[in-house]
Amino acid sequence: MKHYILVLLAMSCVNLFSQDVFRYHKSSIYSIMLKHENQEYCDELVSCFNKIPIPEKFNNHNLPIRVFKAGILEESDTTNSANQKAHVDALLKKNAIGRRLVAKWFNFSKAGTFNPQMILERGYYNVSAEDVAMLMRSYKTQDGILYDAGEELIGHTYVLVNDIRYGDKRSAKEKRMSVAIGIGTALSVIPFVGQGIMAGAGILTNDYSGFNVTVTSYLYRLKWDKEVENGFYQLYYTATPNAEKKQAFAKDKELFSLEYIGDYTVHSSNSNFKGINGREEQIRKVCTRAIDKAIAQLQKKHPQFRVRTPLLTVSPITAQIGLREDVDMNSKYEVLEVGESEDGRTTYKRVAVIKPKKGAIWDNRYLAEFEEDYNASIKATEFELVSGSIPHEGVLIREID
Amino acid sequence: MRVLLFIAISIVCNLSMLAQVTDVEKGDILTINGVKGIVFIVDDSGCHGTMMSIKAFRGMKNLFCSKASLLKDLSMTSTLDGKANTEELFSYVSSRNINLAEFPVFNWCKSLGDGWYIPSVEQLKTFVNYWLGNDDLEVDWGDEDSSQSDDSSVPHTKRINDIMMEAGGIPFLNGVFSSTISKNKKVSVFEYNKIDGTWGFSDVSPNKIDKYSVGRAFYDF
Repeated sequence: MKHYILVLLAMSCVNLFSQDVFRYHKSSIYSIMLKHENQEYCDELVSCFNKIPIPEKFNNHNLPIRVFKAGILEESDTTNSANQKAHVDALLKKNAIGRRLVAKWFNFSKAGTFNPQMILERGYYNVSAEDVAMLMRSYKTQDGILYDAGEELIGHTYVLVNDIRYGDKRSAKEKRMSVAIGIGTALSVIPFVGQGIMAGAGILTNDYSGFNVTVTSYLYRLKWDKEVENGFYQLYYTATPNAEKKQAFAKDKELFSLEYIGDYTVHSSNSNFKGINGREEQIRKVCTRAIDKAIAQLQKKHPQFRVRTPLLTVSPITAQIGLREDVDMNSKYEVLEVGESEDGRTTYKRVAVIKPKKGAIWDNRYLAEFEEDYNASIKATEFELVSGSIPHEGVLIREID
Repeated sequence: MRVLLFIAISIVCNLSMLAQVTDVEKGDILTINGVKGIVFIVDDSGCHGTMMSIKAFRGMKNLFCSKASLLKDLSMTSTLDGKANTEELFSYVSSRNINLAEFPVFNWCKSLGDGWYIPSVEQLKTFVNYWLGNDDLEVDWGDEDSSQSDDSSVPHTKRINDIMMEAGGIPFLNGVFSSTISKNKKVSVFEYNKIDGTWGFSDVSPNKIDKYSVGRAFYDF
């Protein structure tokens, strides 16, 4: 019970949910890549993946290792795009990813201690002496906040496993020619600007235009229910060094698990590489867009993965989401007023429904500024009201079906 | 009398050796009756699992059987249980008074001692997955709980082959065939493309398993 109270003390507070429009509860994500070591461009893909930032609508919950080997499948099993599912399941379990995500949430130290600093920061839960005193008087409120942190933050921790496979869309003849003159291997050391003047310029151009990836993204969610929460606080949580608890936590591969939500496969289309000055940038563009697309589609398919976004302005109604999030003329969003229940839990009340205005969807895709029809004057997507009213700024929007 | 005594002592030694198998890990080399195998399945107790012979049967024609006519009444259809397939063949030749040498790989398997068998196609796949590193999922997180991982710059296939060669065996490569005979009387032969990492099985007539193919035996301990 002592540890439990310590958590409560540390998290003690009145839930002063900030009115700052950009301070809202975000989902957290750990993004992983599966690499295929025997495939072309493996090293380049890994290098690019490591440089792709986590979308700003998520908290970065990455662990130190983000690239794992893909399963080497029997050829007859490779026809199904989501064929790495069993491998990913085993990978996540074997490496105790669930426990590692929880350890990160509670700043698990080498000494074996935990603290709720990350939860306080991401939840904007304020702590003061007065709050502590209030905690001492009322467990209910604090229980509410603890519940809130679980529901709003820890329970919205996702693992996105991106199986990135290189796909060469050049014709067989082009590939043969490329291989014949040794370009396949030499390309990595040839500066992009120099390639155009080489004898094999036509082939090189094809090599670039042929660069495509297929990304299958597997989405998992950290299981954080009452049973897991209680197990964690009772068995492992300690603010002071405790070798026994530390060892027991480090060995636990059962309590903290991940729930599979779904997967989505994106085949990158022939990209426009205008304005890009190197192969790495080209690969990064293809991969970033493919992963963004997969995230957007997974949100459409799985409502629990849909993130909330603040409205930038109320009149006109604008928000910084766009083509990157697959906003189109059929998209609809609910407008949510953020509140707080008596016991300190965050509440969301739908006050309006909005849809994008024609011709006012922002192109916020990676390197969109080089797209031919890019409209530099649009810096956010503008919406129009479908129903309800928006009472004030500081509201959030979330996609609905 | 001396021979009988020697046999009795050998049996005791082998039994006691089997009884002493503990803390076994994947990749360990165990010796049963003087025959070495590499462990690729082991249970949580570290006492029981399966190993594959580090040596192989190869280098001759008609490794599976000498004549197609011998296969006529043979089923051996289990895709999961190579031991059952192997025992079925032993019973078959025994009941029909056929010389086991007509089935060279099974004759070799028998020579390794009791308990060895030619794996079924699924059992062979299990080894292939181990060999490729598909089971080697745990990475070194640099903390106390994660296991010490091997040098990931060396392909897993090479690491396993190196273990077998250091123990006096031959590397696992293309051409290993199973004991499973499909309904259309074909045997699955393992194929691996080292360049792009693709692998699979091709169906070959048992009487056409040539000298480029390889027979391997498994043993459950």
